[in-house]
Formats: sequence, structure tokens, C-alpha cells
Amino acid sequence: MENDVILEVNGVGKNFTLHAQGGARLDVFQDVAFTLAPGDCLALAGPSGIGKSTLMRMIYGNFRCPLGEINLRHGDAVIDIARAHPHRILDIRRHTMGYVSQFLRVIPRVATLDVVMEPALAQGIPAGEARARAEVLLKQLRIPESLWPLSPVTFSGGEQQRVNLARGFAARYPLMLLDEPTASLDAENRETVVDMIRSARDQGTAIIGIFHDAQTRAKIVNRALDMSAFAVKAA
Amino acid sequence: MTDFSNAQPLLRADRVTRTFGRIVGCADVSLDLYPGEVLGIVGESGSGKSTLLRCLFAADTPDSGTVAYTLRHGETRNVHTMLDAERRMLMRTDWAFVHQNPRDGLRMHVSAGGNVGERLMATGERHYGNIRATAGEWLDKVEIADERIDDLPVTFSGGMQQRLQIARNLVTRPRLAFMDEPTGGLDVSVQARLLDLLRGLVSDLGLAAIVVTHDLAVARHLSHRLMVMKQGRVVETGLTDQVLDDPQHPYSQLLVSSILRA
Repeated sequence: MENDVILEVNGVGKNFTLHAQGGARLDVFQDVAFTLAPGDCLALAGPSGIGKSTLMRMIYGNFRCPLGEINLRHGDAVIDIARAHPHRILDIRRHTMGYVSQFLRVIPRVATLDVVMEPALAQGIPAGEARARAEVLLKQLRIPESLWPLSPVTFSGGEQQRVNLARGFAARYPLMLLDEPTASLDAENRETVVDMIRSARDQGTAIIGIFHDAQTRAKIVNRALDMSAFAVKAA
Repeated sequence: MTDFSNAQPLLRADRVTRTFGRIVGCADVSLDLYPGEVLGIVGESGSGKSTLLRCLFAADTPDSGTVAYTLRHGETRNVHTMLDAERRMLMRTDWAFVHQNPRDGLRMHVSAGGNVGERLMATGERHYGNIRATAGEWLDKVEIADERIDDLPVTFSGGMQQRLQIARNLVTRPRLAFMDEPTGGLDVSVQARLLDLLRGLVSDLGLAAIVVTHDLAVARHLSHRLMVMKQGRVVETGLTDQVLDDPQHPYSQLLVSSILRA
């Protein structure tokens, strides 16, 4: 892998076999290939159902990768996510790759502030600093201070999404994956999130995102990958 | 959080098989567990989870296969061939047990403080003041009010009993916990609290754990890796969220798709 590359996706394909439905096989995509350098912001584009989120989850190691390789620079090493041991993937998620999904998944008792601090603490950032970062982000994202001690599970969709974003940005990762980060936000919050993403990108974070809003996309990305090009044609 | 990559496994099972006549308890199960790692074992009732667990901590003897445990000073020992006295010592110090029914892990007619203190005494602590102070700290860690220290566990709610069992077991700073349906039988609201508590303790103490559960939410929130068992055999294993979100084996797919969403 070239020195200035952080991620190299090569010949990646995905299919699902649904055993409960007579072993039906869904071929989602094949032969996906691209590379990503620090400071790149790549949009995954294409119609709904084409496999954008699926590819993102494969890069994160959440979905298995049956075909091809996903090489990621992790510290001094290059690791193929498709074949990495679970321990290695957990370490990569802690230090190298962050993921802001569309849904917040937390234990219903943990306070919002703790939810946001957690990834920073896991990176070894001292508690005081992690808390300070979390507070700044929650303020920027307009989550009222009165909500910080409460669990986010009862929050509105937009609030949960902002908590999720704060959580993702409280730690610092060389690569960030963003799955529709502005989907349920109002215009003001969308602007804030766009600024956060742009600033991370300008500081050298590589970003892969799915952005349905064309305006948002135009403000952030410098490249797009049309996933339609990799669709598996029915035989 | 612990980095597992360079460590030696704490517990290693190699092709463990236990049958009861013609009935297969567990067959050919191998696993590695690293310091600080939580491994979830899921599967329906009768899948062999509990039989396997009992073989791992030597409450039961496998027909074949071995279970090796690495002691604090680095020596690796077969848990089934070590002396009874050595094993008893491990059970009092290095190993913790969280049973589904707290009555199996508590002495119901000894005070809450006594339940915690007893385990400390078993490790050689003799000073009454220290024992009481440490017991108090642990009751506080598991969110049991100070003034309940002299009360009997029979006067506690199910959730409190379960938290007391956890305090009793973790007070000796064990390295490995065996948990069998730790949140089973508790109200949903109480479950979340216990889950949060367990997660915090496991990560603060760098505790390794094997958690047997049929509750996939418990598995998701507590474990790093997951093993799916069916009819005594491991059918799938991997990163917890990968197994739950992209299950490969027909049985894992069935298990995940059978969850009722409220």
C-alpha cells in the first residue's frame, strides 16, 4: 500500500444468504475498489438499496467481507479488515476508525455525558480532558445541559443523532465513517455538523460518508463513489 | 480498555466434550479467553452453554478435551488435574461466579457485609475493621445503601441480591468471572442497571469473563466476542456485533431474527 494511503479497498464484494428464506442469495455488489488518503472526504453515492451502508459496515468490520480485501493503516501496520482477528478489529475501532451510525445503541441507564465521553476514555484520554471535550461538543450541538445527566434513549431522533455525533467526534480517529450524519437535523444543527466534519477533514482525518442531502454533500466531499457501478447484474 | 493482542490466553479450552449417556452436553468446543476479555456464549436452552461453563470451571469433568488456566505467576495448569486444594483456592480468589439465582451464590442467613467479608477472610484478611470497611466500599460500588450492611440478603429485592452476589465475588479482585444468565429473572429496568454496573466493573477491574446468556441484548452490551451454540456444538463465533448483525449460520440467523422488538 502506498505511503500516503490510509485505506485501500480492493475487489470487495458482498452477498447475503438468507437461510430462513429457502437459502435465497442476495448479491449486493462486487469489485468495489478505491483508495483514501488523509484529508480525503469520499461520498458513497447511488440509489437506496445499492449497498452504501453495507459497504460502510464492512469497512468497520461490522459486516463480514466474503470477497476482496479492506486494507487499513493502523499505527505502523496495514491490516486487512476482511481477515483480521476480532481483537485487532476492536483495537482498530478504539484508535484508528470511528463510526457514526444512524442509530444510537446504548444501555438505557447511562448518562448522555458518559455515553459521549466513553470513546475518548477508551483511547486513554484523561477523564478531565474527555469530559471537557464532551461538554464542548454537546454545547456546540445544542444539547441542553439539563439533559446531560439523563440517558439519551428517551431523546428525540434528532437529539439522539447529535449525541451520536458528539460521541464520534469526542475521540480522534484517522478515519471516520459517517452514515447520514445530518439526516434528522434542522438547518442550524446541520450547519454545525457540516463545520465539524469540514474541520476534521482539514486537520487530516479521512472521511467516508453517506449524505442524502445534496447541499451538505457539496460542502464537505471532494470525491464521490457511485455504487451503481458495482451492482451485480442478475444472471 | 485492555489490549488483547500481545497477551497469553488466561483460559484455553481444547476440544472439550461432555456427554450424558447418549445425550450430548457439549462436543468438541475449543476457545481462548484473554485477560480483560468478555466472551458471550449464546444459544437456546439445552444448547450446552451451561454444561460447557461447568466444564470450564471444573464443576464437571469432560469426557475428553482439556481446559488450561494461566495462574498469576504465569504457569499454565490443567484445571481438571490440579489438586482439589489448588482449585478451591482459585475459586476463592482468582475466579468469580455470578449465578442466575443469587441464592446459589450467597449465604442467605449471613448479613450483606458478612457475605462480602467472608470472601475476603478466605484470602487471609483477618482485621475486622478492614474487612468491614472494604465490604462497605463494595456495597457502595454495587449501589447498596450503607445502612443495609447488617441486613440479611433475604430482606433484599432480587436485583439487590444479584448486586450483592457480584460484590461478594469481586471483592477479592478476581481475574476471571463465570456468569450464568446474570440478568435472568430480573425486571427489565433492573436488568439495565445491572448490565451497566457489570460493564463498568469488568472494564475498571480488567476482569475477563465468560457470560452464558440467552439474552442477545446482554451479549451485545457485555461481550467483545460471541460464540453461538446449538445442540452442544459451536456453530459460529466472532466479533459480537458481527455475529449479531451479519450472522452466517442458519441457526444464528434464526436466533437473531427471532427477537421480538417492543
